[in-house]
Amino acid sequence: MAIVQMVKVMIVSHRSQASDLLEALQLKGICQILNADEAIVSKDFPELATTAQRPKDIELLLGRLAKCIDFLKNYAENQKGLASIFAPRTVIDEKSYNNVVSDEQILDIIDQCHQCQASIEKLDAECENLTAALEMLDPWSALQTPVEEIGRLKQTTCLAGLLPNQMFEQIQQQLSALDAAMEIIGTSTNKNACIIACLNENLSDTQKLLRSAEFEPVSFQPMTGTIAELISEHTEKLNETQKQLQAQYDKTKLLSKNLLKLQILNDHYENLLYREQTKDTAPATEQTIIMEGWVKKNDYHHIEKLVSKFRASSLSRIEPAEDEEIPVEIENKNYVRPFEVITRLYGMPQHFEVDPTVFLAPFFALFFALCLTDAGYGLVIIALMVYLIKKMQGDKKLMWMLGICSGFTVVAGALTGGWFGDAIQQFIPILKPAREKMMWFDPFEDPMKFFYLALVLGYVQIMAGLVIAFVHNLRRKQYIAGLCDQLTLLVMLNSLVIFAVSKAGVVSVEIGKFFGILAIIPAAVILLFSQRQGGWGGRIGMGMYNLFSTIFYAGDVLSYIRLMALGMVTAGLAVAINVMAQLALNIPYGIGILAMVLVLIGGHGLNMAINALGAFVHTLRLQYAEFFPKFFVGGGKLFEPLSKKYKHIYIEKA
Amino acid sequence: MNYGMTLALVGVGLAALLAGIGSAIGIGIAGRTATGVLSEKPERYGQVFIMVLLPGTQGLYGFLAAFMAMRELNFFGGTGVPELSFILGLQVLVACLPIAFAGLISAVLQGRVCAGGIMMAAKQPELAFKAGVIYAVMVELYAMLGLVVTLFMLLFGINWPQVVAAAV
Repeated sequence: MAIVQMVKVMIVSHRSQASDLLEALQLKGICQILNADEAIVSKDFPELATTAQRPKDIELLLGRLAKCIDFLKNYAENQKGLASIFAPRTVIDEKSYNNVVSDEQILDIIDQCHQCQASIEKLDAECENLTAALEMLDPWSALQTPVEEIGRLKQTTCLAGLLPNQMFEQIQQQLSALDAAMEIIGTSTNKNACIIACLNENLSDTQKLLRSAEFEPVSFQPMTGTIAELISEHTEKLNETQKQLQAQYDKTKLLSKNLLKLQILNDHYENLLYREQTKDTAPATEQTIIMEGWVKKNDYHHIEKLVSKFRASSLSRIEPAEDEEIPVEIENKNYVRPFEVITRLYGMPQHFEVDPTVFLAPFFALFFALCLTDAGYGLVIIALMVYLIKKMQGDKKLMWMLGICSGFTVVAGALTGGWFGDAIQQFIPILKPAREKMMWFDPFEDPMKFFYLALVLGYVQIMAGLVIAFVHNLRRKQYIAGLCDQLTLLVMLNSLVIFAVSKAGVVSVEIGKFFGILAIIPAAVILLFSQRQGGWGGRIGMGMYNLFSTIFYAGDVLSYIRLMALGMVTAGLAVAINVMAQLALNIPYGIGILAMVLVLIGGHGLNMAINALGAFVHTLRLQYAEFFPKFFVGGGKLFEPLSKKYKHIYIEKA
Repeated sequence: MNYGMTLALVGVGLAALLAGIGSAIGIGIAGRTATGVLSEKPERYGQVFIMVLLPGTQGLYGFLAAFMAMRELNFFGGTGVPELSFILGLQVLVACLPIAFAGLISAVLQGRVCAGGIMMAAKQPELAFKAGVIYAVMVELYAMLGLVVTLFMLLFGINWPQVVAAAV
């Protein structure tokens, strides 16, 4: 439970063995190895810090592999469909992994891939050019003259170009005033393809006129021959290019059968790179590599055994430096472990703090349940999570956690009589007695109960936070901090609460009075000793502020009203959906029943999804904003052992 | 005729309408930002999705308040609606206002917080959830309080008249 104890080790290995040793360590995945910047040994002996040489050839290969994988992915047949969303990594056994990794021919495939990619790009561009040329030629198809003959003649000049439709008549008149002639060859969208002939001496005037009419000159250079010839020539070329392109596509498709191999290789080299980087950045002498690192205390014997197999390497346990930041890993038992998700999301505790996971787990499950308070939704989410846990690869902690929370939800829903809202009362009256037997109260008939429940739970969680901090301070022998910062608050807040309930007549007035007076003592302590540094003026000032800030505890408790609000929203919307379904049933011609089913499934599905999300984020906020600040700071450095990581594949151990 | 029911209906309408407008604007703001971020970083879809969705809850709260009011007014009972006095109608109207306005304003502001969170998701994905989502949820508390007040007023604050059987 809680924060794992770490020991610091130093492994010194001869250069000839370092790579093998690191591979063994990486396979085991239990040791975090520090680089020269982090290691203490290189602080004492700066000359050990090596200028790291990047393993450029591996990086280069990885870059090429990644490019190939991206390229081939577009051509590979995806047979897995929906399942690949949950299980994106391909499962393979160790043997085929080793086969692929030792296969020399795969490098050939990479080259072929690059060739294919390059030629596809080139052919694509060619196709595009040819299509554009054909498009340009199309309106001129009726022109009989070879295109190279259009241009300047002895007396006249021929101009070819596109003229907007609406300008045509106007320009024709103005052209004839310049002794020029115009003929339409063909049309394209909104434009006419025209040939204009004018006398050489009027050329510049004609051009000026045409420019004002947004005339677009067309040049056929460097083409020669008639338009018909040109079109057939280009079409032929286009067909040829497309054929070549298709051939390349087919070839790529064949190549894409090797996609998995490339992915395996990619993961293999990623791990190699990770290892090499670790080796190259570690402190080193001419002959040895010094690997300073962290191991979990419980794993120490593993590493002892592992290093003892390497005869030119030695392992020794060393003391961490005084101000050294110890990496943190948390470990929890069975049912609490899934809730580590919440702690990890917030950030690791520091190595001297407590692991909040075990404390937040029951609250989180309970609060999530209260936000949803519907047994039916709870059951559906459980079913969903079971499905996902079975289908998904990788870390399933989140699913487990939601599953556990949903278990609580079923209980909370049964206690408040929520089964898909009021579906039992509306549609299955037979089950009514069973529902009522399990029910504690109905939130809509007795919302005050829910209201008080939310406040009480909030108060309990905040007190729990203070108690945790108090006990932790005692364990670390910081008695004064425990006394002045937590015990005072505990006594004062509880006394005030008893005082308040005595006013409401729950306990006798005398007891209330006693606790009312008792509250003055911790208040005085807070005033005088909550700030224990600096001059008395500052101390009293801060003390007054701290005393005043206890009022925020009331705000913290009120924040838990959201539990009730969310619970009632889920229930209320579910009731609304049932009412709408009931109304839909009234639609005649047999559509009614279909409409009802659609409303029920769609409505409850949506309501469940949106409220489960709400339940999750609001519960999370209660942990982070109300619970954690009482005893927890966080910001610890995560323990990251050198281990094998896989992006594309999942190796099944034989 | 004394306009009691008319006032009540104005209240019911405002609860669903204003909170709904708020949510629509809030999601609009968040959604616009999200499409911008996604066009550069499609892999952030999941995180961004949650933040676009968050301002949607106020509309649901408004709808729930309107629904509860309609239920108390026996809209779905099949035996007709009761005669409401002017004062009673006014009470229903006032009871609907907390969620109407808390919903309207908090949803718009939450939309802005979410938009900020979404922008952050582009550059600091590890912070997007624990800061972006949590901050947005902080805004939401006040809409929830509005809803609780509205529901309490509707359920406890108003002496609902019995439906006159003759209306059947």
